[in-house]
Amino acid sequence: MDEREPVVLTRPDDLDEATVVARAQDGNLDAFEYLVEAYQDRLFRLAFRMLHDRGDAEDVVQDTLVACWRKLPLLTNVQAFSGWLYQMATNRCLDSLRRRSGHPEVVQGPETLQTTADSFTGPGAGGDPAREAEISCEIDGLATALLTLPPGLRACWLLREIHERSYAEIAATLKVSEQTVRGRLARARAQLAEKMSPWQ
Amino acid sequence: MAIDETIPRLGCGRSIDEVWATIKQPPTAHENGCVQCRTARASLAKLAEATRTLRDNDAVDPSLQPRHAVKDAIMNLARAEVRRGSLLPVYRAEQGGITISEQAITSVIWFGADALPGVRARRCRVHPGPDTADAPRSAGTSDIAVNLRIAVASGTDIPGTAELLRQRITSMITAHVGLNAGAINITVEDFYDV
Amino acid sequence: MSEHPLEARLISSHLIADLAARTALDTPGVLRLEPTLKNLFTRLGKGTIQNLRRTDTRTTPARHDGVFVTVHNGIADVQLDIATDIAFAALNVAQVVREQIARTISHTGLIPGRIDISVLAIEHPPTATAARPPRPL
Repeated sequence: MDEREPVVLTRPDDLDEATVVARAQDGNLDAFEYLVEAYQDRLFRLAFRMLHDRGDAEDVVQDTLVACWRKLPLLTNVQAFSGWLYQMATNRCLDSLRRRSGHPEVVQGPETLQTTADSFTGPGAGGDPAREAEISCEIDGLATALLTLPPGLRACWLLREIHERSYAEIAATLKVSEQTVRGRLARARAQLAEKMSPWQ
Repeated sequence: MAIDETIPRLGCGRSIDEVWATIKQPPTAHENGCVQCRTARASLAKLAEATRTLRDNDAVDPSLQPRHAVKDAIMNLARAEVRRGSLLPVYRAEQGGITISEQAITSVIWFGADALPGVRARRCRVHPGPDTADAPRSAGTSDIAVNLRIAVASGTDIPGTAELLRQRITSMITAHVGLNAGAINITVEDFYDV
Repeated sequence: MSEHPLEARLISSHLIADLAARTALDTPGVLRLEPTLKNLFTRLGKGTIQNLRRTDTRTTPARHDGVFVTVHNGIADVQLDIATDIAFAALNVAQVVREQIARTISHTGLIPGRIDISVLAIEHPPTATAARPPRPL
């Protein structure tokens, strides 16, 4: 509708994230839009690997970022922004899984496997079809194994291993101790490793 | 919660965590001799490799991005619920008057601050000046007071920079808002690296 | 006024809203009218846009985006929300807009009543780079 291209302020890309967050807190839409762009893909990847459903993952992204806009003024520590966002997204994923829990978990069917394989354009394949097939097989094996983990373990593993969040932050997100996070991670790794190549 | 903290152990007594922690190093004498450790090392190494592949691939996989409609919906809502701060009465005539939003004044202040090297303006509050807070003058402008939080580049001369910033804000508010700035309180809340 | 009672009744609040909007947009330093749902909600309590359309009482309020007009007893009240160009002093722009709107209303035969202007945003014009020189008012 309204073309809003203000050049009033230094572009958010040239500022540190804490400053962009502070300006979004004060209602600056360009700063907020920058944050949406910076985080929507990451949150989508987290939600998709948690929920294995594009629509549900998009709902999580949208709910999280709308809640972010509404609650931003209440965030006291701008440095904690990304942890706060991950926390909201993770909790929404877990809620979504709880709502689903009446139904059995749908493990990746062949159709989605194909889609993932087709869309693969990742680094390292170098156009080598054999290597590409190997990589997509590796990804699908892990992604499928991931869906067999209980949600709490899955969240722990994704936050740590894929999104590289700190133990302290994951503990705060899941409202458990850091020791519990370490325990869950170890069990998640053991279960995943075993699913991918049974060792007994 | 005890079970949550349990770290799985192999038959030989070593924990998965111990094996994981040294996975990038050559196997120890025990690991070389222990079948369970060798198998666990091999399968954890495979997991580590697959994890890296998944992480790198997902990060660039265009099919793992939300549709544009998601961002559009978020931004439309944010626009509809845009926060302007309070409306400051700045002029009162016999009938009606003029108000300026705190956010409009804040963006002028940010604009002014951005032009100063070593300063990043963050949260900003604008209040009616103390003498006009109760009753804006019947015809004429009222003063405003500013509270601004900033981050400065490490190594910045803080008192000197704050003084420059104050002068800048005063002249920006005169030129672009049309008001007189009274007290301008600046709080340095953070440093950033250049 | 009393000489043209019929005329006065013909001039609807919608027309005044139109005129006020056009007058504001013609004033140097006004970038746009600034509609937000929130403005609407705070001004009308819990009314939604649809409710608003049905509130066609005798005072017949009219809302353009960013303009809110009521006409009663030949008096027009206007509330206008604008964004101004940072090259101008916002307060001066708003004062000129008030005066111009009062004049425009007088030309219709109605009496200008309460005229409230809110400057909600101060920005650079969309297409401008830093190069645009400030025009004196």
